Amino acid sequence: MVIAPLVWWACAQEPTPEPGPTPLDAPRLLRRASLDLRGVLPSTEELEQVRADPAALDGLVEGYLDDPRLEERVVAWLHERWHTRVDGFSAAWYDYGLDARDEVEFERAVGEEPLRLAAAVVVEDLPWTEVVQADWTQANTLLLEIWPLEVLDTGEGWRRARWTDARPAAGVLVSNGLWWRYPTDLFNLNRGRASAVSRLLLCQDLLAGPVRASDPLTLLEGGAEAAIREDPGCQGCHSVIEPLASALFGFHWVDEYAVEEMTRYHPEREPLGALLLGVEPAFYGEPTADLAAVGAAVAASEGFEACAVQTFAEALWRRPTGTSDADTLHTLRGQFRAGGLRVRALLRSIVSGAEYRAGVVQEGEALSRRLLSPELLQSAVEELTGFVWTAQGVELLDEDERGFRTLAGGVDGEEVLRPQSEPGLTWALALRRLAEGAGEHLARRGFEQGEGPLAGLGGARPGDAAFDAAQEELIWRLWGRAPSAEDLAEDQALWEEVQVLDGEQAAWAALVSLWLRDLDAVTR
Amino acid sequence: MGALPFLARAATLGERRFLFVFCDGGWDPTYALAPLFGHPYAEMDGGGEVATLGGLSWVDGPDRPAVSDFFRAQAARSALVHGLEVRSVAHERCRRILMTGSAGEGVDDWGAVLGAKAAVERVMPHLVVAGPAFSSRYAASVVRAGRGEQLPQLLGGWSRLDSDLTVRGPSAGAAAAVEAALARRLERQLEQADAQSAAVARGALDALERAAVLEQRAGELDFGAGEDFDDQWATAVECLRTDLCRCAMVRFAGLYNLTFDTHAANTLQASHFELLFQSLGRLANTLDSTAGPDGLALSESTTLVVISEMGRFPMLNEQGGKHHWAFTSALLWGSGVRGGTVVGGYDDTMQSAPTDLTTGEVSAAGEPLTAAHLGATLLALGDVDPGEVGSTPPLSALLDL
Repeated sequence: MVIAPLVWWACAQEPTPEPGPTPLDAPRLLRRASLDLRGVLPSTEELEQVRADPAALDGLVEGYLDDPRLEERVVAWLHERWHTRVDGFSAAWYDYGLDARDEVEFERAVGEEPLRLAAAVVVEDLPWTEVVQADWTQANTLLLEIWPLEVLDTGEGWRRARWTDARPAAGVLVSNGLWWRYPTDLFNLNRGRASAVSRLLLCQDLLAGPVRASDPLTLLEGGAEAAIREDPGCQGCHSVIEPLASALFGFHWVDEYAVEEMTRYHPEREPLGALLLGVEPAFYGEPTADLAAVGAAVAASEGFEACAVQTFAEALWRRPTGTSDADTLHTLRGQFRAGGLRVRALLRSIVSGAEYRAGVVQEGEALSRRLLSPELLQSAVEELTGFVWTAQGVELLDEDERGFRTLAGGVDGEEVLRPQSEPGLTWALALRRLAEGAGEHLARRGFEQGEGPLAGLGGARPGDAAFDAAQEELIWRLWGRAPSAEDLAEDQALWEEVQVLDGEQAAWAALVSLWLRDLDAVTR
Repeated sequence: MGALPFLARAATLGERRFLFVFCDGGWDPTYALAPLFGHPYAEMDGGGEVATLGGLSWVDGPDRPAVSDFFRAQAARSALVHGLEVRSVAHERCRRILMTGSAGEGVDDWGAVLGAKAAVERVMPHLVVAGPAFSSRYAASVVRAGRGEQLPQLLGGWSRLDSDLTVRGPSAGAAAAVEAALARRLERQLEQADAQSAAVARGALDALERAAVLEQRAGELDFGAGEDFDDQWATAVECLRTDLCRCAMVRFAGLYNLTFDTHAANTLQASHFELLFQSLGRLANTLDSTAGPDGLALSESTTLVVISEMGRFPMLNEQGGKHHWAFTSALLWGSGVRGGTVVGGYDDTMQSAPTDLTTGEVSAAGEPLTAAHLGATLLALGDVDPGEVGSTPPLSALLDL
């Protein structure tokens, strides 16, 4: 039998077992994968399945990779890196005649547009290169109303759309959401945007190096423009930045606060790049006729592929990668390439690895405990209790003008660029209030409305079969492990104490809130 | 030479505190702090002139009298640092470099480090009322107040929180029972978990304990700062007074929140500096008249650090503004600061003039100053070995320890 070379090569690249952290047990690992890939807790049945047969875990995780809820997870991961889900842009809801109540929806729609495009590429199992080459984007009803888009798919929510303003086929490189987040002005001339392309898609941070002219007099007497063109110290970075910036002038806004300017693409301004910057568009020395050519050049670059691996590895490992990860990342990159640059294949490789499955870590960079992000906390809480913490329709763990996103450890994309990895004071406070609200809500549902897992528990006490069953079921579902004898003893003491004070409904609310704040609930 | 009415003394009790004032946008030091009249490239405001008191020199201008008012009153407690290189001209990156000494991610700003390494454990080691903050290793020591009074809302519980779904919140007794149960559980997990999990449990327990303390004292505090600068620093001063924090960060955004980023109409710098120094004067007076936890005036133990992420290009552009410049100045005031001191300078190309770190004077044998020098100086003021964070030595010329 002849094995196709690609298959042979892919098989040859299977990761060899390596010493390292002790793997997490199957139920907890299933919980981790379910939250990471679907944003929800695993069902009781799924947990039971892997408890009985740990080998069943891989099959379940494989199913998670096909779950449509993976899209939301990709959006969340990429926001942590691309930082577009911010709480304000130069254009606002009132510029489009929207209602004030639409403010957050507007901001999220704008900021998510590039993220949704990328997520669609992942969920539809397209090559990752489509992110910079797609002739479509994703839009929701609000964006379809305000931007020059024609819908390509029927249905609700985010769906495929195409720009109608002659912008080239370049995926996120022609995204309004991306360039609204990374605006420019008549002085910067898209240089900041070029830097953003390099950082976000190639993981090359051109601003990490010192900004220093070799000859200050060139800078002082000729100005910054002269120094950029002539000074060797400046040319070190600007030899890359200028040509890339030159390609972005379809997004050149004469008035950077005019919504009409910001809304549509300006193909007639594309030649301004060469005129104002004095260089023709190019990508690392390769001439590019337009943004579509830039997208193709980005897609073909080594950095693009490596950056994708780094991006998704960091998203799932919940820590920055470093030199110690070189071997693992190299292996992942090989698998990514072998999988046709499909991110789902990459995700499969990552979640199969020792780093991701770490349970007990004695040395190295792997994390055994990773704090849940605010959106995962909300998701887990909502699923278990039905409680969604919103105010006037705004999800308070997803926003910072009124909400608690950064206080709960999340990323706002402007001042907080990395998720919090350790517990902190405001994290503890936000978690407490979330848990209190959720516990009360679940108890109310059970005792006042006769629904949910606490329904019918009136009169049941610790030690009763119904009480104990409900307790163990909820903990198992929430933590992915059975409660210990000490856990049960503490729970019983708390329930009885609060029951005396405020009655059994309040006692259950207290118990649930305690469980929601346990380490096994708030980490994965 | 004017009389110096006050001499800065080292804090006699307790630790030094820090109040960071971040002036957003990149100020033009030549409008207030750096009298570079006669410099071959620095275009100075035509209405300004150099003013001097003791060893301090600044720019006096008819449209920003508050600058001179401040320095005439506070020269003996003020020091200026010039020529700090921030190695970038991008706002976000400059902020990071100025406040951490590094352009990379995964770094902690000076407030986070000072807060984390305080000898005294406080509920909020570094309180960010407003403004930027960078934390990584010491993230747990940083407490953000939130853009819209979120911290007091969280502290106040469900009587202050909003929710579309009805939430009354637990009774005081039930809440206390849950907190106690959670603390016991975390302590148990501390003992049983692997090293990494134990660290998370320890952090959670520490956060729980600090939150409980802050909750008890929440009624004493007014976190309703919003964007008003005076309200922001009033909140910070209150937290310093009550020893809830060691460090605090506030943000000044200038006239109409336009910030100092004057790519056009550089004359707006005058308005920004006028407002800034009016408020700094009030702040200095407040620190003088407010007793700290040791019974002494807060000014005895508090160092004010007034910074901006970058400077402005020496010459005006076609729009009458100034673009970004990778060199800036800083103002330090108060405890531990050698008053009447100017450290560093700008050379003929408006870059950092080599400076003797011991004397503060420009010297060919010295070294150009960077944000890391400023950070090392603050760490030294805070009794933290600068060597723990980096290899850059402090500006000992600034220290009056």
